[in-house]
Amino acid sequence: MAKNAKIVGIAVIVVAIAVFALFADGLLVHKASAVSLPVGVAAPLKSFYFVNGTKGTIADFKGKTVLLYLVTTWCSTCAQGTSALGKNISFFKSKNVSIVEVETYKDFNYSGAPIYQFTKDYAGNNSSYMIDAYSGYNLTATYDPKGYLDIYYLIAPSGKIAYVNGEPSVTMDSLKAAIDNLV
Amino acid sequence: MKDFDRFYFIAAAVRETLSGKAYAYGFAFSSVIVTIIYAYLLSFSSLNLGNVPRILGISIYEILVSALLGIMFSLVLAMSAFSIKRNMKSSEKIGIGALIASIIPSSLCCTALVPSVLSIAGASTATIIGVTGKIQGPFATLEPVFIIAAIVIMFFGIIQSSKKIYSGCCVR
Repeated sequence: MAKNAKIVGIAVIVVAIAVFALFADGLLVHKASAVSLPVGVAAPLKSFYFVNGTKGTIADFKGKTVLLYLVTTWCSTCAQGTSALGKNISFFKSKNVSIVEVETYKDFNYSGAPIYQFTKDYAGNNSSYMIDAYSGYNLTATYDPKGYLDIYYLIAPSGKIAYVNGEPSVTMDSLKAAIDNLV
Repeated sequence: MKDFDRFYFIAAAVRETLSGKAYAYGFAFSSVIVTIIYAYLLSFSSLNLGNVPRILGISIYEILVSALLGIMFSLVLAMSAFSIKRNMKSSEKIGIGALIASIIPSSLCCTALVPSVLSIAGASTATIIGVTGKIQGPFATLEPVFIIAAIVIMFFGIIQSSKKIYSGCCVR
């Protein structure tokens, strides 16, 4: 009886660890937008910096549909997300969606690849369609106040936030549906 | 001692463990399930493997490492269960330690876990922005170290279990 209890106990611990890992990985919990800017509000005009050093904001894209994707370049899910965007470039082109991929402020204080290198590594030649940029502190603090390693905002031509989520590799279908609803 | 030196005892202990149908089926089933779980977790590997060949979208690295971890972990479990049933001292703690080492990178990096914990703990946005990278970054970039450590720990567990099982069953 004691032996069986020990075996059962080990099995429970193993299952608990597996569940914890899957939960932490986001499999069991939908990545909610509860800790981001709400849908429907005007996208705040916080600064980012293009790779040539010039300053930009979402206002530069007024009248266009924009996918603002904040990434951390040492982050594996961000790499997967960038790769997923690259694989679906033809869709974004067909819908005239501009993709602005922005490295979070100082990569959250842990050095990763430069953003242009990161998008090239994971999106290949399709990275030429993406606009690479570095986030100012206020943009990261405003759009990603909880410090998620990746989060994206679909911004309508009106300048309002139309959809928020993360991990494009997992949520691509929802993102595409949101774009279809907009366009 | 001669057999221990040659690692013959490992094969004998594994054979003894899996000679029972329950243990054999359990090992096979567990190997498949654990391999699939690892393949999913490692699909978010932080390693920039470039143009590594892929099968059905999964890189060779993910397949090999997942299979190795899945089989080794399942063997540790089977041998631990076998040892417990025969009142031998088992090495389940080593197995659990190896499991934790192998999933740490995927759990503590690149998920919502660390930011959520920081947020619940009351950290401000400025603190989160300043700290989260320092916590998660090393787990992202040191993933191969954790994987290797997990493999070494599991191998150590298999050796320990094998010595006890071999001594109990095969040395007359």
